[in-house]
Amino acid sequence: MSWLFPAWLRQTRGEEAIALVLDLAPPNATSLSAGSRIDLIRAGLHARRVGTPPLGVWSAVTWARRRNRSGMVPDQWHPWLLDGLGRRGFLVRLALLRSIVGMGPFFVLLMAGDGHVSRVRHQLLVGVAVVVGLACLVVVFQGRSWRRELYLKNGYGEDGVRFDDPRIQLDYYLPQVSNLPVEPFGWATALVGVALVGTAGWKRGFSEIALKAPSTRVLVVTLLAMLLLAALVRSSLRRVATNPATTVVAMDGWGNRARVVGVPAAFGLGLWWFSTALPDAAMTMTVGFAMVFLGVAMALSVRMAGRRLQRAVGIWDMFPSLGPLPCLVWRESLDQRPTPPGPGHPAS
Amino acid sequence: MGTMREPTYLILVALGRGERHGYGITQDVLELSDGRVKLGAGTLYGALDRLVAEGMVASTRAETVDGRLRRYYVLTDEGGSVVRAETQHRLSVVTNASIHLGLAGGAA
Repeated sequence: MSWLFPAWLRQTRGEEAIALVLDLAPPNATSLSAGSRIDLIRAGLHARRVGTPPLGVWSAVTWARRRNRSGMVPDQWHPWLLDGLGRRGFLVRLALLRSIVGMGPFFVLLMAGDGHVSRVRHQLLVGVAVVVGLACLVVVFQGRSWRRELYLKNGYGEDGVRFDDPRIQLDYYLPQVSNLPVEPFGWATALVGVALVGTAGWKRGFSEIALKAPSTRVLVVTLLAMLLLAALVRSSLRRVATNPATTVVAMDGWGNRARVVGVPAAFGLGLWWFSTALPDAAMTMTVGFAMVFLGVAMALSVRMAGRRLQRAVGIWDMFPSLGPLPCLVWRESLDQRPTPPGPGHPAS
Repeated sequence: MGTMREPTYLILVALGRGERHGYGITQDVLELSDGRVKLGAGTLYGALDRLVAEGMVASTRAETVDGRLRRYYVLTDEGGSVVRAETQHRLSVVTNASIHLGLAGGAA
């Protein structure tokens, strides 16, 4: 039943409450009475309700970005944040929400363009699988980074211990190169991707994208060009290295990058070959489930790299030139130098 | 003040007698309510958490007895004022109700 109670409540009241439950229990009792169970369940639910922040705070965390102040929550909600960040489920929920918002319109457009009920059902299945798969990928690759960022943005170390040293203060700086020329590329690329699938879905149905229609072909070429351009623009950005802790740590050669690129590529090729021999329905379902397996394969690759380097490794470690610029910096006074936050700084 | 729930009121009254730990509070509340209000651990600590946050109750010390943690609580000055005012209010209601119903001791 302990899962019912938030971590902050277990820490502050757990031992004391158990002692009282034992004191109140009749002699030689071997289990809790129904009344005690109901009382505890009600207390746990109540603690969860009063411990859940208002929508504004919650959404600030959900949609926190690296390069702005979002994700900072008022002090009174720090216990909630710390409790959440200590749980994997919290990050999974964040990832699912971001994934749904990011991919939702994509699939709505796709289904709206296809009048066949049977296909809509398959597309819905694929949509759910893709959203879940994407969320898994995001959690695996970005989960630790999110956690570190949210901890730091609210003045905590990675272990959830508050930085109380007055000589240390967290602040933000504007990178030397604005995000302005980069961000629109990302959005535009996503829009082209949506338009591509939407057009294909409207005309032929998702499973029959054959790259024959001129408009589809143009969209594919545009999409690839924009992806390439976005990558080039990102890689040309100057990085601001404020201290060693924010320097991007180089990976050991091409081994990891090749694995991260190679595994999905080989998987995709294999899937394409396999799907050509399958009927329509089986193919769409295979694609959906493949997303999940692909996520697992990539996750394993990254985890192996992390174990070898003995530190947390994220996707941007593999592609440092494409990663978003770090936003948080660690400011220290010059006369006395407190301990820096360590290598886990969210500058990966 | 008028909306204070009975368990909360009884907890404050129990603490009005002096420092108490959780089990002591539950027993005092049971006695004060003639056995009607049996506080469970969840209800008690939910109320205590709220009262501590509102500054009406403070935790003083903790000790371990027979391997069980006992934390002691006291009323703060603010808590004392609130429980006295609430008691006055309830007394006034009871007096008026007694007069209204013509009960012995309440009639003028």
